[in-house]
Amino acid sequence: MTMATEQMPDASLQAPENANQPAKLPAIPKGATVRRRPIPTRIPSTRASKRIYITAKTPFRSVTARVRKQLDKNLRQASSASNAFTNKLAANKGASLDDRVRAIQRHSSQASKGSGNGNGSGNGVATGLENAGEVVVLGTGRAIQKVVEVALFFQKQNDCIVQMKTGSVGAIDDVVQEGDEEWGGEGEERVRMMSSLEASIRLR
Amino acid sequence: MPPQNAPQPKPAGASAVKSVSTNKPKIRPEASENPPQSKSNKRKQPPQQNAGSNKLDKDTDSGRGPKRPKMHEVRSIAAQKSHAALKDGELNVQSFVNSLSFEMNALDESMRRTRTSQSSRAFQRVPFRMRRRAAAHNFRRVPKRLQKRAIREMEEDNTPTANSKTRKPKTTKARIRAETARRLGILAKRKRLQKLKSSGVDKETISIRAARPKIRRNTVNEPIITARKFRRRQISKTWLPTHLWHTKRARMTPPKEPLWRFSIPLTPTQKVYRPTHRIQWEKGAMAWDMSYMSTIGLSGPQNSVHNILKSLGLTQEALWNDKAKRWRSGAMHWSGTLTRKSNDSVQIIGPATIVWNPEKGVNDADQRKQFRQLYIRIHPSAFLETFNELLRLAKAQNPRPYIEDLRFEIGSIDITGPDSTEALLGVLKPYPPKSEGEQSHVSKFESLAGLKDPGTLPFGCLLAFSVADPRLRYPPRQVTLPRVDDHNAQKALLEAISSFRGEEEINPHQLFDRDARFKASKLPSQQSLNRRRGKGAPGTNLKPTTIDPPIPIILLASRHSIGSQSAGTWTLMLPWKCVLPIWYSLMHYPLSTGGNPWFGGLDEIRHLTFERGLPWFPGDFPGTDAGKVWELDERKVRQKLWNRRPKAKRVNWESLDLGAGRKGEVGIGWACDYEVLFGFKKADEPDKMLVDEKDGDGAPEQKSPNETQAAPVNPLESITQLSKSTFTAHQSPTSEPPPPTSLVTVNIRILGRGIANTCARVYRLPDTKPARVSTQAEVPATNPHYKKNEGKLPPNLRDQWLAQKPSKGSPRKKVVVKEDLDLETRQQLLAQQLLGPPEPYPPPPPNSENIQGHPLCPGEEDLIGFVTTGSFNLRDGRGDAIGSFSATRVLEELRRYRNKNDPNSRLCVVRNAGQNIGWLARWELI
Repeated sequence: MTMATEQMPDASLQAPENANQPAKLPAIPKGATVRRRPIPTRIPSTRASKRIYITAKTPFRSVTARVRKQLDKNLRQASSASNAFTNKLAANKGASLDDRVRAIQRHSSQASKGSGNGNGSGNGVATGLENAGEVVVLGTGRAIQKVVEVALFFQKQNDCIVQMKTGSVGAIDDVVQEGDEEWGGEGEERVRMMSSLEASIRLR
Repeated sequence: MPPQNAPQPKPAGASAVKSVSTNKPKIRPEASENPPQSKSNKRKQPPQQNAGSNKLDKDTDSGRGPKRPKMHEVRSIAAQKSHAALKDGELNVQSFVNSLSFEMNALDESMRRTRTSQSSRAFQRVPFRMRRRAAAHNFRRVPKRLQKRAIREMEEDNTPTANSKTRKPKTTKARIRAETARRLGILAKRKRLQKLKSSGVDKETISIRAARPKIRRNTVNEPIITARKFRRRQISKTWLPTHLWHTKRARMTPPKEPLWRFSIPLTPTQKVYRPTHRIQWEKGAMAWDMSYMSTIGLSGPQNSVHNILKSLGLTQEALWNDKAKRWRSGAMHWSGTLTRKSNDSVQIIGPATIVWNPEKGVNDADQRKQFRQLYIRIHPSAFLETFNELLRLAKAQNPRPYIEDLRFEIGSIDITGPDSTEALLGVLKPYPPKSEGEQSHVSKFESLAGLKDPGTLPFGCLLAFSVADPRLRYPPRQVTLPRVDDHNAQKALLEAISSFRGEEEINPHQLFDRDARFKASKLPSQQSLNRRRGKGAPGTNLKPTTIDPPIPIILLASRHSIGSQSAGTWTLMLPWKCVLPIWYSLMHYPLSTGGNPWFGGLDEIRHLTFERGLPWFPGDFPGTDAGKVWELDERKVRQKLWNRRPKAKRVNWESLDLGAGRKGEVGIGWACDYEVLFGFKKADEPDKMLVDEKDGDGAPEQKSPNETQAAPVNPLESITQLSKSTFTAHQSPTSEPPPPTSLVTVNIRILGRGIANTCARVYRLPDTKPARVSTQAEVPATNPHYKKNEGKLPPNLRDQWLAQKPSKGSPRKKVVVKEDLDLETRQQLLAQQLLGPPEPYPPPPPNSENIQGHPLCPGEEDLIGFVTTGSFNLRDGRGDAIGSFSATRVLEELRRYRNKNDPNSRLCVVRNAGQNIGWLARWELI
């Protein structure tokens, strides 16, 4: 809590004086503490993108392990669910052998065409990884450094593509006066924008 | 695919393709020539196509005929003819590669086909959430999309279809019963008709409104009977409005042992432990029917109401000055603990929520005499205590306020999780759409689209408005949410939240109005709704008309703990009779993240409060009256469980070896034995514990229960609970010490491994004893081991325990040191060890006196409390517990360390009942 009290004015001081910038937040009165509420919008993970929210305290190794585990899972799922067959063939199961052979031939020819165009997706036969899900590691504020560390870690690995995206997230703080904690107290509200960083990691 | 079409012999030379089956290529054509012709009437056998044609084939085909060729068809891998890759001894690389790629794809495709082919039945394909009993026999029990397939499979497999409606009674008894029921039904119908005729209701007469149920003041009201048909089952307990829905999907309290006089869902029949955790922290929503929470209405002149609240423990300055003006004007709610004064001490009643009804016209002149109304929402286990206390306090006031028992007037639903707001937005549609008084709250509510966590809303957020009957718009449709990457929408949401607390004119909440509540409980029947729906076009929503009353609701958003990222909870208060329609719609709302809201039982509430690191009322407040009852009940349950186990397989409390000559469990093993903690037992019968244990061992069911009943008074009678704030008041050196038999609630985090269970014993770290000097003198002379002088703990026990504390980075250092040793130094060390004189006192290895490397537990004099809830915390990934400690010992412990941040302060040892190994943990007052 106290960390936040000290940080916030600093951050606003560093911001350049600009007409477009949001107005500087007033200083916090003496004796008051800042109580942070949870971030109002937090996007849940989906099948296509697993989102891992980290804080500054999250252990580095645990994040990398979770990312790697999810990547492995994506790989497994992608290889077992190549779209060509699951969607088209599984739907019409009564297809005759001829139809099946034709579908396979069509699929392989498409795949080879795709590689010919040079999509960078690989070597002749489509691996199916184009549609494999990504893992997104997100952090705000102090956790940004950790996100960068994780991103760098995976950038060094041969089989991963890492993309970074900056953003900002709004959060609301309560500035609680000294005596108010005893009854739970409502303090002054203030909106604060935090910078955020997301690293999207996917398999090559 | 119908079975007769399965074997489709392919024209072999029709294309440059042949089919290669994986194992035996010859079977397929054979099977196609000989379709199955067995005649046996077994299941798993398809209806016969040409029955009786060839009986000799019965043995060879073994009844599973048509499946085999089909499986073959599916499993066969498509293959190309040996290609023209090799031409005149030359390899055409392109075509070779192509054919290889074809082969790989063919293999892949075949594997997939095998998987998707009908190796499993339709009812096996549904996710476990949607599995239903007897779905194998009744195609209606699988989801709609799979029903066709299920019907086909059942035909193929000759599975008898069951239909509970048309099922004929099988046994004689059942037949007789059914017949009697039918006859009784006819009789009842005839009687009803006769009655109608005699009363002349079918003639045109004036219609009178149904009698409004009486709410008596200053006395407890009669419970509502939920389904009249089953009123005899509700004699000694009350059903929740959603009881019949829950009984089909959840484990309820046993009929003979209701909880707090309610029949409460304990846990869903589905597995929910991990889903519950995920819902709280990741996505989804979980709802509870919390109608069992008691609501007490307190109405009277403002002055007397204030006085009553003040004597209920709402003594904080801030609640009565300008700061909490919004609370008193009814714009927000407040949650806190209620207390009552008994004799000379202050007893905690329990946590409660208080909502004021806004006053109509603000008139400063006679504000003190103004009539005010408020609701106190409290746990049913503390209801009677609160009600009686309120009555007592009200009697002392002049002019006298009155109290209403609204337990069965107002029900509630709790919903938590990131998608809870969305679900509520989808189900609660404000009605009438343009009512002046509620407009601001309605617009506030509707601006919350996209909010993931009700905990983000300001403290004590309250919304009161009226909604339409959700059955008019059934099934609920998804609301349109702003896109997740839409920054403008995010900004708008932030603005909406931060402007939530703006000053506005508040009109009285409709839920406080008895007429509005009564009108809302006269919802039109489902039948009449269906009739109305039948008149309109399919798929259109019904328009609310005059016969659809608005349902007054109050929505409370609450945050659980300060600072942590735990999701908040919405509490929806509404008339009791309206809970069921809203519940149905809520359970069927399609969430944007997939699935529907889940429902939970009591266990899920306890699980989530535990994961948030909060105590659960009443279980974790053993000092309150409700908590004492809970503890005594739990003791009985645990004892019963223990008694039921065979002697060889249950913990033998008596023979538990705690080391250093200590035998036997401290106190009774199945209890959080506060009697031992506070030394009640020593006073009257010192060896009661032993007697108890012997009874339990020797004659399991004979004496132990009798003894607990024979005890004339509640053994926990004199125990009191201290809240954190009261305890901190006692903490300053000048204040008087806390009452000797008072408990405080703490949160315990185990530092290393280990998991604490309920009833685990908690010890403080032993003091380094002053007697240590003398032992030091003795030891080198006699024996460095303490085994000899049994009954004494090693003097360095404290250091042993401190050595257990996991430290950062130290293991690596040790390894480095060891690696540095080369052969010579090691030899030298060994020689030193062998030749040198026997080691004198100082380093007795830290864990010489131990249990498998764990230090011994401290003695009984160091017992400070018990764990009331303990388990593995999925959120922290370690053992966690909520415990109750003796306030006196906690105070001693806190005074021992001058520095608040001393690394050794607030350490304790947690030992599960019946085990001799303890775990180091750190506690924190909550």
